[in-house]
Amino acid sequence: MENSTTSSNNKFKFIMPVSVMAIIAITAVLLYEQQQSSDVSSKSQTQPQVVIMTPSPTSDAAGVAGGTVLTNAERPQGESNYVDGTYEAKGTYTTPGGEREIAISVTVADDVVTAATFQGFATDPASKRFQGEFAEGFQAQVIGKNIDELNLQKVSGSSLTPKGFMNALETIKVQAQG
Amino acid sequence: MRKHEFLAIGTQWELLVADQIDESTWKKLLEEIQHCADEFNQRYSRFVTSSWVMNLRAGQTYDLSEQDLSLFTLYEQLNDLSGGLFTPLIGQLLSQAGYDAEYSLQVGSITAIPDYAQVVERRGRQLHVFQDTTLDFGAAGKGYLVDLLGALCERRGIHNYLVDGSGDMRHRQSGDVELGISKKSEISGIRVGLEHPLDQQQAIGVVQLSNQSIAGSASNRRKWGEWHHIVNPRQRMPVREIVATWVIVDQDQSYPTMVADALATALFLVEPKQLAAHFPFDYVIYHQDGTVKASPDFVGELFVASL
Repeated sequence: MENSTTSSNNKFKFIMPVSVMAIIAITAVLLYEQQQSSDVSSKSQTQPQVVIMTPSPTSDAAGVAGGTVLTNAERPQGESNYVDGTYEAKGTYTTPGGEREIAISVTVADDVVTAATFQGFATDPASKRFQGEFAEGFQAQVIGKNIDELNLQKVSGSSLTPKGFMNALETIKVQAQG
Repeated sequence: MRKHEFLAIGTQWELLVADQIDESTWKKLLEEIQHCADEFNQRYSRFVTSSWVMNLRAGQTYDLSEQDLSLFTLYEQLNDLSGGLFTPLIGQLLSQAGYDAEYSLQVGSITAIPDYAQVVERRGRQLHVFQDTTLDFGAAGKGYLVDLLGALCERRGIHNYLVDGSGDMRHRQSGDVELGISKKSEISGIRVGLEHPLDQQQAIGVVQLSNQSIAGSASNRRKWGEWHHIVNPRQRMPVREIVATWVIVDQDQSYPTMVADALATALFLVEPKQLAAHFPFDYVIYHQDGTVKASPDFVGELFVASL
């Protein structure tokens, strides 16, 4: 009994940050598109729909479609509110050109959102541009994630430094100390 | 899956081939690759004192090969677009700053860089040199060699491969052949992390590279004192506002890795909009303050700190 209560509590809790994040982001994109396309069409726009997709690999709570959004005032006090892990949400919104999708992922650790990912999935040029401009205007502060945890096949960055350069740098360091 | 790791133009390379090829074809290919890379180094390296680019003499006219031409054409186009900031004459300034063939890393007095047209004039395949000079194709050279090695693979009938010139990559995939460690069920292509410019153990995003090229440029590793190797020739100082850039170019462009490589450096000097009007490409720019700017059509993940 107690177990199932906890589990449902957890479900209830982790919906909150993801939904809020996703709604903020999707609404921003939506507003942006409306603003950009206001001269093109005055057709009614639907409200953004948010679907919680996948729960954390570190949590075995099941994902829930739909979801209730809690305000800060309704948050339970005095305990750890969210199960640590990464949550993904996909959001859809309707444009004059049809339905569009974006994805947000949010990582929660000790009740703090430690990371979020924005990803555009648009395939038509107009929506790609809108999403892109949103992402661009957003000028996001990014964080690093450990390469070991990302299941990468390759890494691109600055080129491996030529050996000669490293040797020279070492020599200079020694000289500076001497 | 065949894999070949090798050293070329002073850095580490890797070739992955997913096509079924016989042993003798593979051997021949590897010989061709080594030969091509060695010749490339002898002609274009600023770190080989006997190379062609290090010994251009006043009053001489040089015949350019087809291979030279692609490099000169791209450099001249970017020189125009950047108002002279993107220039093969940067080698002189880098040498004065200590980034020379001996890696002296001693900053000397830095003199102004002349205009490209004052030093050389190209008419078709003829290069006329007005004053003794060295040319530096470092901003596009590695990407160009990636493309040339990719072309060698394709001439041998290989169409599923990855050439990785230590972070500058050309990926090709056709049909059902899977390349890399991805499972059949996953989206095709190679999952490439964008290395955090301040922490090599981390990435700031992920790109799924599929029939595309990617090149990155960053000022974090080749650093000496106040200097690094991406320099604004007019300010005669290294660029500080931007720390790292990545450029992705589709395979339908000719020499996409060369173009990606050059644009990654050009983004340190020129607004993306100025370049986007002439080259179809996607980009990610990492600024000194930790903010990131991505191109409108960028498809990939960026790890955002807060919303």
